[in-house]
Amino acid sequence: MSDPSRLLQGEAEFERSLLRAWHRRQPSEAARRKTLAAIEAGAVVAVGGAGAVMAPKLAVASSSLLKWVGVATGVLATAGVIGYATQRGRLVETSQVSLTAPVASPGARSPVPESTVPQPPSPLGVVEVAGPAPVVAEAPAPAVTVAPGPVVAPAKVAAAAPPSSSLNDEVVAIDQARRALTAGNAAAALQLVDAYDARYPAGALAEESAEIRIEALFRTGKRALASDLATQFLAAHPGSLYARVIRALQAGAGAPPP
Amino acid sequence: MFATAPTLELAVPGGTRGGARAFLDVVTRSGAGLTPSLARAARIRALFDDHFSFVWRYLRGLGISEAEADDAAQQVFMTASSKIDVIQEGAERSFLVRTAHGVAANARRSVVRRREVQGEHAVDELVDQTPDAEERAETREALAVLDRFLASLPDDLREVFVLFELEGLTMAAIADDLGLAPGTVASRLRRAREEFQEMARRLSAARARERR
Repeated sequence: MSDPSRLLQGEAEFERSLLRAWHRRQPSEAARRKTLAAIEAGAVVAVGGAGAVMAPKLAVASSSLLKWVGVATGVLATAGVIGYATQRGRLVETSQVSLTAPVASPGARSPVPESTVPQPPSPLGVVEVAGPAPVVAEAPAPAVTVAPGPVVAPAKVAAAAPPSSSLNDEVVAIDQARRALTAGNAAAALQLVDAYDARYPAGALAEESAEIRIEALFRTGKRALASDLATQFLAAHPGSLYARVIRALQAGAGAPPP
Repeated sequence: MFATAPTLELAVPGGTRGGARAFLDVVTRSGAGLTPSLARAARIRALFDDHFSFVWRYLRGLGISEAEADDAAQQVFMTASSKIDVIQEGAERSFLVRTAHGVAANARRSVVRRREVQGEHAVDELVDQTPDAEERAETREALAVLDRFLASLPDDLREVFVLFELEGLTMAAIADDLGLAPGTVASRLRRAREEFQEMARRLSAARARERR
């Protein structure tokens, strides 16, 4: 069963604009926190006034463990996961941090200073690991990121968000790059499409990423490189939705078409 | 012997999404293994990190208002948490999709199908995504059009359209998640796309007439 091409990648601009809007629709952080708290507490939830009562069976032990997982995953994601995976035979002493508190808006960065983290007693104290302990968190890698929405300076652009297959994430990433370019920050746009291409090597929006890259290169004065990429793009995708824009960029040496 | 993390930063790029998944991957690669209770907790957390936004939007696509979607998504994840031991590895999204259908159906029955169309709530859900006021207004308008369109579709077409065109799932994944034959998914998708394209054509033409 081969999939048809998606309307989001189609030629009808109005259709694309409608579908794109969908990916701006996100749950609030309050909703995330509330759900995490409910999972943690094993709460009873009624929905819509219908009296649909849930009776979750999460054990207290699981609740405590969830807290630890929140800590462990944050540390791992921040510190760089793989490097620590090879270190064995050591245990992680955990601090008790609720799952619900630290969740930030996507892309936002809100470090928790060490001094503010409540120290043990943890519900578990030392995490119990069957076999050699896999994880040691020592020094976190610098975690910088791209804020959604406002254009970011190149120095803030980072890499290493965890991979995701979500089309929504792709649209958000490309939108950030497009906004950076529109706002005149071509250097940031380049870094954002670098990050996009690294994260989604076969991304659904790869052609748009290429178009942004070419326009950004023109704007930063790298005309030869931009022109080479434009030629390659047009040879590979002569019928692309972005071919017209790229031809115009090439012909006008970087001036976007009207 | 113990190493204490000097900084605990849960707000990693993209929120904490993928963190628990990475944690599980690390443990798997290390060959160490976890106690069952810790593995269970990590799996619940990964389930939340990987799928919360998707489930919330899917519920919105099924016609649940923003205010109700918060509670409905919570109910979906509470159900999944309580049944995590019987959800097969790799079948998590399928479980969530099917649970979301049941939760959405209950919510709709209880609220007599209050489908939100031009919702004020849309302002809140777009705050972080669209800093520019004009862009925000355009997005709100587009979402209102989408909501009206989705409300006009029969349930069976709407589910497939949302999962394929809006959430980017493959048809094979949709067939798996919804328990449908691949041909049924293809047929429903084709009909839903025809409806969408017809709606877009009409609306686009009407706007062109207004501008003249």
